[in-house]
Amino acid sequence: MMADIVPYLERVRARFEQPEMRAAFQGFAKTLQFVFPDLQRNFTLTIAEDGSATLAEQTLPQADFKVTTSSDTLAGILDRKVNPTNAFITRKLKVSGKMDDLLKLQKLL
Amino acid sequence: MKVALIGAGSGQFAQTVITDILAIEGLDAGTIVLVDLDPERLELTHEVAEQLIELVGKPWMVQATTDRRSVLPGCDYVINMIEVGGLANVEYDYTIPLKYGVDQCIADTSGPGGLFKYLRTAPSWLAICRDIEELCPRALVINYTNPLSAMTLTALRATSLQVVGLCHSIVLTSYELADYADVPYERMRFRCAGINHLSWFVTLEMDGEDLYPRVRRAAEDPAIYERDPVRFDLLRQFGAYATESSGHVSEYVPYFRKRKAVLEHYTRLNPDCEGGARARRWPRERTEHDERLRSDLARERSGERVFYLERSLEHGSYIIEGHALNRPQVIYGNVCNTGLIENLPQDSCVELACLVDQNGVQPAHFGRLPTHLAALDSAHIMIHDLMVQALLNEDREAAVHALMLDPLTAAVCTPAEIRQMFDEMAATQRDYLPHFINLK
Repeated sequence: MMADIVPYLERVRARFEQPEMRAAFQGFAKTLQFVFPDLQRNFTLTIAEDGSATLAEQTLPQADFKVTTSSDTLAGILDRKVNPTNAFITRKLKVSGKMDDLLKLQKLL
Repeated sequence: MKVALIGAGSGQFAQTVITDILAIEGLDAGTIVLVDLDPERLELTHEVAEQLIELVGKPWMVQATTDRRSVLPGCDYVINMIEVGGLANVEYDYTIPLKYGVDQCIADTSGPGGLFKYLRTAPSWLAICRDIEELCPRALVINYTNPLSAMTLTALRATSLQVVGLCHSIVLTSYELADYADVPYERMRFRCAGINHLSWFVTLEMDGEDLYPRVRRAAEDPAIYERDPVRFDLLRQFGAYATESSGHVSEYVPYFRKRKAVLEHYTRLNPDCEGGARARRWPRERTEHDERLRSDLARERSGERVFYLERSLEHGSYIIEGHALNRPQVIYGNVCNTGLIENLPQDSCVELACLVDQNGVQPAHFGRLPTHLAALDSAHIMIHDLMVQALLNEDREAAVHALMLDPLTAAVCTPAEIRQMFDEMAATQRDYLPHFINLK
């Protein structure tokens, strides 16, 4: 069953409205591409210098990070039903980007 | 059922282990005892454990103490995850060898960094093992602390305890290989054995088809090759895939980090090969993990659901399940080589498949590794032997020789330079080392 992924991605984006998250991501101007092969849809989360973030349905070939997963896996992670570490190990969640920065992105989950 | 976590202040990992134990179906009650010398970090894990128990809703108890001897009696399982003097020395583990041209990446399981982490950690581990022998001698002991092979070997050599060392590297790598070969994981078959972080997938098949040609074809795509360039080059040259990622495995062999240009080549392909990765990242990550855990705990307490309850792929809880409930499990463990891998030395610490049931951890006979792979492993096995000899015989010279034989260090330095490096590291870390290392 494919999850309606937009509300979940919006939850991720909304985390940047929290003052502590915004402070943690200040000066971290990066782009994060979500690729959902099951939906054949791509979304980009753009983090600005001030730590705020915007979400758009678009493909960005040169994104700083790329997260490839199914909509159900991402929904399961955000609903705390799927352990993201397990999903990463079993390749249900594939992430690319610089390791130092990827660790920072764990905060999003 | 009573399970002790020694070094439980290791926040995030302790959280994983506790979550896993609570997730064992049919193991519905017991006591988890948390032990750490750092009261602040211990209290954080204690609060997390209480929250997890409340979430799971099983009648488990949790107890926290800085005095392990008070809680060891009656323990069925003891899980070791201690860290000794790491924050104070991780930088020196990297920077002093670098002065001599030895540019490590992770530096906590092999080479100068691995040796000195062992010399700092193993005396405490041995004391813990002695207490277990005295107070709960029938407990099954699981060691997670690095350097895993030498730490586990110490307990195997010096005690009568049933001990197994655990690392997730074989399991993680097997999933990666299924992905590269583009086959369903459940249908893939493999045989893998060796030593921790340098075990080898000697066969990789699906329905009788050798999957290595598929893996090699996948690596022709630069985007895939650059994810793990050292491991793919080892596969090309040695014919088997190793169980640690590029930066880490490159420390175990003499080929990839001995010349600046070669190292720069691999670091350009994959930044994770960069020297000093752990020294640079780990202290910061440790602080960030603690902050995150505190924040997650606060969010949980305010009613938000933050903690994951899905069981991880770490094998510790599967050992408990197999043993306590007699539900047979296959795990990859680090155990004593009693002829299991025929062409690796007897009584060394080897990593391979083990059956676990009510009879305990029972390693499966593997046979022979291809000779060239056994040779790479044997070099480290002799080093592990010297490390353990150094500790048990209080023999400083054995520790110096262990460093002289490290493949990467030996590829860069003369024996005299290695001795000088050892002396400098020993002088810098003297407050954290056993007395015999400081006697010169």
